[in-house]
Amino acid sequence: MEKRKGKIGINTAFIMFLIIVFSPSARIFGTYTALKADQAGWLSPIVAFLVMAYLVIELNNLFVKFPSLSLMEIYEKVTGKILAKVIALVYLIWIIILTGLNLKSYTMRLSTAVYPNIQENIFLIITLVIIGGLIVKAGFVVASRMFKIFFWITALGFFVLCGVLFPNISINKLTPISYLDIIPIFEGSIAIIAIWSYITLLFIMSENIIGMKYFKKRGLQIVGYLYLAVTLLLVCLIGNSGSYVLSRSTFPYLLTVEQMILLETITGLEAILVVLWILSDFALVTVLILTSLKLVKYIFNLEDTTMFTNLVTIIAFYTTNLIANNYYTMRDFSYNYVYMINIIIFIIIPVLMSWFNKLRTKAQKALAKNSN
Amino acid sequence: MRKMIIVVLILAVIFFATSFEEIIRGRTEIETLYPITLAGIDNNQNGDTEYLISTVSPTTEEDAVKPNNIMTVAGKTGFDANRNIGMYAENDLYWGYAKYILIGEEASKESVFKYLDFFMRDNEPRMTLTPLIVKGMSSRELIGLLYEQNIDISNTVDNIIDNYAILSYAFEMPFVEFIDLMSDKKNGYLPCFELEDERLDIRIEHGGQEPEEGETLEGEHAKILRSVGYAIIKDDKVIDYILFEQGRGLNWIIDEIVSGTIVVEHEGVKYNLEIIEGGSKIVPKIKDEKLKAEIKVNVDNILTEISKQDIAIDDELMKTLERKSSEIVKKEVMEVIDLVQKHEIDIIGIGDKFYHRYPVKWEKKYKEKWEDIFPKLDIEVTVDSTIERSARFYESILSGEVK
Amino acid sequence: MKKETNTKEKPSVKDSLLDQWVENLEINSDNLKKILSKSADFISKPVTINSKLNIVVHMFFIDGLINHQQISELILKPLVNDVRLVNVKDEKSLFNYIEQGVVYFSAQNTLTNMYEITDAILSGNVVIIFNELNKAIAFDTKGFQMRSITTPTEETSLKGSKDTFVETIRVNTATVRRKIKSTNLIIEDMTIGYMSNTLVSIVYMDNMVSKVTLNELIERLKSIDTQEVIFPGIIEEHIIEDRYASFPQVNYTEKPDKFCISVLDGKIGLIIDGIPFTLILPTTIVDFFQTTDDYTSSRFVASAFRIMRYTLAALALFITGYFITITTFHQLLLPPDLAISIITSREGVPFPMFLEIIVLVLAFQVLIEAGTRIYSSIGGMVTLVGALVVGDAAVNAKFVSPAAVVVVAIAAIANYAIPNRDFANSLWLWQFIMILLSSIIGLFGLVIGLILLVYSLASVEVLGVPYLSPFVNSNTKDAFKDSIIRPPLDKKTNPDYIQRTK
Repeated sequence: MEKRKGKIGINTAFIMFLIIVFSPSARIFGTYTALKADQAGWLSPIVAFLVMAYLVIELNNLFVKFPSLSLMEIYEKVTGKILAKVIALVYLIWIIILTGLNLKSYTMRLSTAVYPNIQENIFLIITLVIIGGLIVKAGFVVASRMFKIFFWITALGFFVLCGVLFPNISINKLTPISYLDIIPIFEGSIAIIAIWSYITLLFIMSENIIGMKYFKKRGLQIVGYLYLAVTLLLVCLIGNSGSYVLSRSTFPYLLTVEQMILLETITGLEAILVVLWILSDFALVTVLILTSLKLVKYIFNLEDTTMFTNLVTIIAFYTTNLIANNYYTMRDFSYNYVYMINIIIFIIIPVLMSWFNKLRTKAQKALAKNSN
Repeated sequence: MRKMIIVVLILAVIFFATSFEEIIRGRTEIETLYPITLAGIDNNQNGDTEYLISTVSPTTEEDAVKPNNIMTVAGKTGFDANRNIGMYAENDLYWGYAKYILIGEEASKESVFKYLDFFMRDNEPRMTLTPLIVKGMSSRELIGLLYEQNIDISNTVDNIIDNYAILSYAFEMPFVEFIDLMSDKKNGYLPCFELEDERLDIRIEHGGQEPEEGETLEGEHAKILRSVGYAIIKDDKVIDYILFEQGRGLNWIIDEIVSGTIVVEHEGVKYNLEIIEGGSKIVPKIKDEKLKAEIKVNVDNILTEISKQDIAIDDELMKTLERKSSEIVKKEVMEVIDLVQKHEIDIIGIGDKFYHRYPVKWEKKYKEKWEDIFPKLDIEVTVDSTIERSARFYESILSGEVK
Repeated sequence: MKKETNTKEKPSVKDSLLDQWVENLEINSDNLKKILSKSADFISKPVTINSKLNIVVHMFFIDGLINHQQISELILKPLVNDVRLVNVKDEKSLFNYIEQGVVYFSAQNTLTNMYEITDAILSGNVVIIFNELNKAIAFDTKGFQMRSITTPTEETSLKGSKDTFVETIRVNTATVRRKIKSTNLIIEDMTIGYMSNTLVSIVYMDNMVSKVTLNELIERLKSIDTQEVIFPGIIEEHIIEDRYASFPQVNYTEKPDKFCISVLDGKIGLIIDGIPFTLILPTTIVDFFQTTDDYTSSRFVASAFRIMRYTLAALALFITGYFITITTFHQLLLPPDLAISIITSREGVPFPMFLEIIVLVLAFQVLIEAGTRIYSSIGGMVTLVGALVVGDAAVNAKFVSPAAVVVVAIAAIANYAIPNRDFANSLWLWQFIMILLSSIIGLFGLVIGLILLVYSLASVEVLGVPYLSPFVNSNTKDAFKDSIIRPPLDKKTNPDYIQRTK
């Protein structure tokens, strides 16, 4: 019955958010924060937390003001139809690029970390066939259920890994912290903010989420949890491997977990990590494709977008192969452009909308007063 | 669900299509692996094949005579040498189980990272691989000599490293720690091993293996592998060694002591103290722009043996023993400090301590000049040795009357 | 006053017409004989009440379905001996006497048409037909040989009650009534199957049940158009939504205590006549990890056991696949010492690892299959031969390697620890899928298998309740109460999905 309604609860939505940010967090944060802020990298999430809390409050203003509309429809209410459609188009293009980027990094990671001799495309094809052919077609509700299960698995795996990594932390690698580190901490937080901004991405589908009145309360809670989890992650990574090694590594989390030997015999804990990666990337790509379908629906005023699923999936496949040929170019592309564009698209635009909306209501009120 | 069956069918078709074999090359049956448990790397003076890799792999046949298979091949790079070995190996060369990598003396004096790069960068060898320096010969020779004696090489190294704590002359340092140590100025240290001629005072026989004719441990060929301390690396090259008690001196400073023995001689009697706990603390001080470091060492001992009986053990004797043992430890530590100051390399982490204590001043003032400051740095060592208790008897066993 | 339909020939094929035809027949003994007399177990017996006036009634029943003693003691005896009856003048007064209770029998019924009469006879009633009045009276004398209530064989429990359901529906409903003495307990009857006319009882607590779910279930039961209900499968298949899913979506139990606990939780029970198993709906995945013993032992022990069952299910699913993965794709994940001992032990085994595992997994299942279906007299031999061949000889002959045997045995034992066999069998099926996927592409394949498994579970809903409740749709802490951890019994509440849709 719930399946037919096609709506999910706000808590489920936030859990989806947690699962989709896991994989980018695990692969980017360790290297990026260590590179920008050295030993103080584990403090960067504080800045990100503040920014995200602000974003949640501003988004909440929009969602409270216009309940049960999708984000694009809210934009339309605020800015008018044409501008909203243009923004939607920009979103769509960027989301497709993001899909390609994430898929590329996913396949690249698989093939370098665990499958040195296998062509990358095989992973891409299997992943897209399953996502496009099954999960997206089954709909938002089934997908959200799957991700909730993935979330339980991920939470379990993450805490097992933290439990293994935590005892080996050396405080020496996490200190000293002085005022000299403040600017690097801010620099290090850029990647974190850029990834956490996927919250806007998820809530493009806000019309399919019920209980939006709890958005602020739950949103702040979830961002708080995320802050704790990411700090724990960074403390484990930097405290184990040291910022020097991390800032030079391709897969910081993998590198750190690989060093662990439990009870002097049990190795191979990185298998847990690889499993969590794949699950989280599946969730991320599914959400990206679902949102792009939503945008297609909005832009072309369509009723049903099932027929576009295959098209979007195929486009994603080709973007992936177009994006970057090797790790170095992709890394440069990410560091120089992707994070900034993410922040502009998923944070600055909604915040501007919220401001604009506030101004407009104020102006309307003032007008009403004057006319009286 | 019906869709799912269709998807599974599609996947199956993809997999079992004709290109299946070409797409998936990752599959290797485990018994077709040639697992390397230990490898040695040397430089090779012959032309452009600079890298010489010797591998040790356990024999998996049940009726094997020797415990290991060994192979040595040269190559232009480490990876090249590795592939060349693969040409001759009966199975697929596999680095995943390698635990130790030995670096020969010549190679280590040339460059450590040059030879280690392949093992660190490639994703087949594990990050837990532990580099070791061979003193006095090439790693190839060492492996060859041990092989002749039917010794399971990686097992022996394993045992020695497991037993590090007994004497605390060295400690195990996996890749990541090593990189972290070397990160600042390419200076550092690595545990080092030596192959000794059999001395009269060491004799080892393994009960399990029946020695073949002419291959016993005795005789002039018998060589014994042992851990002797640390090799000091300056600017990526091994320049010196700190051996035995000196090695323990380094361990005192970097706070890696687990156990060990101190023999104190007093009035012709030998008292043996067992270290049960040792710790040290480096206290950096900046006073009026003058840098000073104080190393405080703390030793807890147990009196485990007295070479002469009927000795009255009293407070005074204990004090004397404590004082004398403190001196011994202090001497060990001072030797190391003198050595590193002489070589002008701060491998004992004093700069790091200053950085942690005074991060701002360090970054702004001293970081750049540290290389000049360190050799002349005033380092004070204080050792506080206490004898916690005697073991089973608190008096000399034949001490006549007990007070 | 012959009805027109009487003259018509008996329709042969269309069964609804047959029912109609029967229904419209005039009530008299000849017509009844026409319908039923071909069967050897159909007994008709004229009983003379008043020989002088020649007042004869006809008595019909199916031999074997009725209790002969009851008939002779409680029906025949008063009919023949009662002073009032002996002197009746016509059938009408006789009929009135009987209707007023001269025959001392508690369950009697006046029937008005032929269909009811045949139905009553076939359900074990004795019917007396008054030819002149065209009327009939039925006495419920069910007394066929039935299996006595035994101890459970399929589900055993340590401290729970030891009774089971039997094949007779009224005995079963009575068992339930005996355990739940509440006016809220509703037992609704329904007949399903146009040939078998099987009685199905829907059992629920009026105050607890979710009305949405109940209506959904009744709708689906009504829509069943089937010939017979001899096996519960036909009902199960009509109730569930996703017929392609491999996991059981209906929980069967033969234990009245489990049935009653579920009903008291607000679930709906189905009792089918002739089947000693009852169905419990709606079912979620949590139900397959619970046993009645959970509620009789310490809650810490019970919770630990539950966690263990989940872990074992995961182990049974993944360990074989993972073993293939680490031995043929990612040898880096194996501890070096173990790897070298596996290499040594596989010296001389010609088959690839995944083939070995597949053969062994199949062999284990074949042993179970053989053990279940075979005569018990040679069942012991199967296990003996199996243990010898699989365990020892195959290893010695270098057909399989010892490591593979150990891993497959661990998976099999973990599988046996799952309380519900249907569920365990689907786990086995998925274990096989995992093996295939991981032998194709290693760890990635294993994760793909996991994703497909989660997908197939997530898309299933039983009567509108997500199969993965409460893990996928519940937000409150309370919803998880009786899932993995067994709560204190006074804090136990009915499942979240029932509360929400009540």
